Amino acid sequence: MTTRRGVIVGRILVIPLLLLAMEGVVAAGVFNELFVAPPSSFIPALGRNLVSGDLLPLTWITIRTVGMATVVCFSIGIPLGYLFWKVPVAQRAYEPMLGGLLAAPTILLYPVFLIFFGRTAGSIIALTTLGATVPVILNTRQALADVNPVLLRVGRSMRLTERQIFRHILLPAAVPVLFAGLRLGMIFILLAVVALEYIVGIGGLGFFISDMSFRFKTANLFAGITMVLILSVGLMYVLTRAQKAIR
Amino acid sequence: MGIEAPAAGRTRKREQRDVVAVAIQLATAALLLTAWQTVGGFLPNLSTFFPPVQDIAREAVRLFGNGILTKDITTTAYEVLWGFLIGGGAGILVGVALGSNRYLSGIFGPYVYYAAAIPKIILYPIFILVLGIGLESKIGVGAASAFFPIAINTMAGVAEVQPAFVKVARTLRVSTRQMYLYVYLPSAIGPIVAGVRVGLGGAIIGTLLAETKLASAGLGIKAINFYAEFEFAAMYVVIGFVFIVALLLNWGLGLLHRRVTRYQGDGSHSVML
Repeated sequence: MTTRRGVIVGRILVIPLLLLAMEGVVAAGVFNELFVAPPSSFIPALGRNLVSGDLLPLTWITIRTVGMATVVCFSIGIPLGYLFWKVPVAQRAYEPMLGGLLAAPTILLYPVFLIFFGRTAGSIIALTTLGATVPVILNTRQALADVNPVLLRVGRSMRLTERQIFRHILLPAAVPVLFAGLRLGMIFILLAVVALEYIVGIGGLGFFISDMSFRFKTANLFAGITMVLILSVGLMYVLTRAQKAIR
Repeated sequence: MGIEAPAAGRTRKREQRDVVAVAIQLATAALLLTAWQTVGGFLPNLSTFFPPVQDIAREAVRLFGNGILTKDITTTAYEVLWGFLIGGGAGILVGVALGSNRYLSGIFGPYVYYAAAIPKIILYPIFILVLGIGLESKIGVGAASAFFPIAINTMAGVAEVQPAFVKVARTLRVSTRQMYLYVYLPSAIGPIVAGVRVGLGGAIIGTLLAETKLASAGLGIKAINFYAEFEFAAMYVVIGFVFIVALLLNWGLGLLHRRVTRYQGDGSHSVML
């Protein structure tokens, strides 16, 4: 009992202690305030930028890009995963290639997409789709394949229609592994969107961080990084809740 | 008919099936190649952006033959190696420390997971400010990228060491160092290698992305320079080279992983105590 409470207390204490440590390190002169913004500087900056600055609209741009990429990725990945499950030859032919794609640094292809789509969100969406669709396809196929065939036969023996079998047997059984794939895909999408925004210098939060770093506005820079952290934590939280809700 | 899981391939027909799979793979590859070659022909200027394979091959010969890329290759390799070693070393240490202690992993574990989800490239400005614009900042990004997959996998690997083994070791009164070296590490080496595989990939991506943003030498900035100067064939050569190296390293580590987990069999061995 005490250990469980101790863990939770410890976990809550980590953040304030970390912030205090940062504050102390900068105050002691280990890092120049120009290079590392202490919490006393970047937390008010975060507040300022959220209220009267560009941070909120820029965050929204990032969220929107992530959303669009997710929609594209899922609408391509899930059907393809289903297809690979239905047609085993397709799976045996393409799965090794997809596995290889997973290992390849696809994000480095971004200049090619810039050529194709220009310096727009389209190139970001296209590139992240290329990377994120792969885990979705692989996991969808795996999720469907892992469904106990006995369950499906029970459905058929009860003379359920295909749609009923799909909705009441196949889908619920496949959800855990499927969601693992979706989660992987979304994490990759968020990561890649912010990274590309930073590298290319377009869009939302990534662009904000890049801009602030070039202007040496370190407090704003740290505020932006904090915002990305908040966004990614929020996303993971939403995904976990969604998975629990579907169960 | 209805929905039914397609029957698993029967062993007798397996040879036939695999030939079909390879045929499909080759056909797809040929299709993609043809598509690439003909894309340039649709519009007069498009061939500049998508040069035919012969041009790319010619550029490859020119760039590698004349040693134009040598300095960039060594720079990037140096950065990736050091980033990987530093990030990986720290990752293993942290992973072992957290994985072997349920208290610590409960407190710090979630934070490691949350921090893992942010793109480490956005820390690049901080590394530049603190470490300067030279190689060190890229090593920093590479290290940060390599750290998290390795730490997380090591944590999981160490935490899943069978308690039976730990108990047996305790009855033999082993020292803490021996415990780590002979019980935890061999059991966790599988997940660790898996983490290393992802971590190396991360280090490569992080380092190269950092180079594309701000660098004086390296494959990343070289590729971007080619892009900016419309020398697309050369750009594809550099990107292709990075891809091939990354895939080879990944494949090698995959072999290592299989070699290292070979003794574990299918994990169904029970330990009688």
